[in-house]
Amino acid sequence: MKTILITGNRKGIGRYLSELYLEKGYHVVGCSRSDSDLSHKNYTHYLCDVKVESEVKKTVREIKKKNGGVDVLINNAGKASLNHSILTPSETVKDLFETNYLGSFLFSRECSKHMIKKKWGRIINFSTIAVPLDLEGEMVYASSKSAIEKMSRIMSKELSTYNITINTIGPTPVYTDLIKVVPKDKVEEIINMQTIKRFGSFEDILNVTDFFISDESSFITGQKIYLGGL
Amino acid sequence: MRFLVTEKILFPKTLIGVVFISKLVFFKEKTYFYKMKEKIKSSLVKLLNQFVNENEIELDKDVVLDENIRLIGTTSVFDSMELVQFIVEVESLLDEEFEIEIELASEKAMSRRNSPFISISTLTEYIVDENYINYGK
Repeated sequence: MKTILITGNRKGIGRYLSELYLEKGYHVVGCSRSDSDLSHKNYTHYLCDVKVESEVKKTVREIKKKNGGVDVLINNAGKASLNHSILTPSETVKDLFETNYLGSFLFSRECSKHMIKKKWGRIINFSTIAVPLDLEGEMVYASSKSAIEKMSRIMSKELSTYNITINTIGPTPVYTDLIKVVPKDKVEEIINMQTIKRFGSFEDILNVTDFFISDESSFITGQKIYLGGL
Repeated sequence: MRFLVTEKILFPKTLIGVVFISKLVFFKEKTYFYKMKEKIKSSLVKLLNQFVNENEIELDKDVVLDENIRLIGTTSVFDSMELVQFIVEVESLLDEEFEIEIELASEKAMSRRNSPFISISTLTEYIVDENYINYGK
C-alpha cells in the first residue's frame, strides 16, 4: 500500500484529496497545526507547522518509522494575502514565504531522502494562476508560488535519476477558506481572465494530481499545469 | 583543636578522592566516546562497501574501500549523484543503528573549513566533534 502525505489537509483541497485517496486505497498521512477530525483506519494525522524545520523532520521521521517512508508528497499547505505592495508589511512577506515556499522545500527535502533510497517517488507542489497572470495585489502570494515553481523545476532535474518526479499544479480560484480573503469583485476579475470562465472544483485538482501520481506518468517531471486554460 | 587536626587530615584525602573520581569519570567518558567512534567508523566503512557493490560503482583494481578513501573531490569514488545518495544512506544508518539524528547538509557542516565529507574518518570526527553522540544513552 502506497503512503501519500498531504500537508495542510485539515480542510479545503487537502481534506478532499485525503478522503479521496483513502477511498482509492492509499495510506494517507496528513499534517496541520491543529487536530483533524478525519478518522479512517488508513489515516494518520500529525501536528506540524510546515515552516518549522525540526517539526517537519520529526514528522517525516515518524512516518518513515511507521510506514516505511513517503511514496507521494502533496505540498498543499499554503497561505494567501491580498495587499498592495506598498502597504505590505515585511512580516507578511516573511510569513508567506516561510509557509508556502520554505514549508514545501522542507517537506520535499526530507521526503525525497526516503524516495532516493526507494528509487521511486512523486512530489506535487501547489502554485497558482496568480503567477502567470501577474495579478495586482497578489505580489507576495504569487512571488512565493513562483519560487515554488522554480524549486520544482530545479529539484526535478536533481532528483530525476532516482525516479522521483516533481510537478506543479496551478489552480484557479476554488471555493476554500483561502479564497475568502479575496474580495468578490477581484475573484470575478480573475475568473474573467481565464480561458474557461468558472470556478475550479476539487475534482479538477484531483484529476491533475491523479495524473502526476500515476505509474504511467514516470516520464512527466518538472511540469506545471494551470487550470482554467492559462 | 582536635577538630582542626581532623579537618587538616581529611581535607587532602577528600580532595584526592574528588580528583580520582573525576579522572575516572573522564576516563570512562573518553573510553566510551572512543568505542562509539570506532563503532560508527566501522559501520560506515561497511556501508560504503555495500553501497559501492549495490550500485556497481567501478573502481580501480588497487582501491581499498577503507575509512581514508576520498568521498568528494576529483579523486572521489563517487560522482555527485552517488555522493548525495550515500549521504542519505549515512543519515539513515546513524539514525537506525545509533539513534543519532544528524543533518549532514547543515550550515555547520557546510561552513567548516575542511568538509566533513572528505572521508569516513573525517565524517566520524565531525560526528564526535559536534557532540552528536550522547554519553550514557
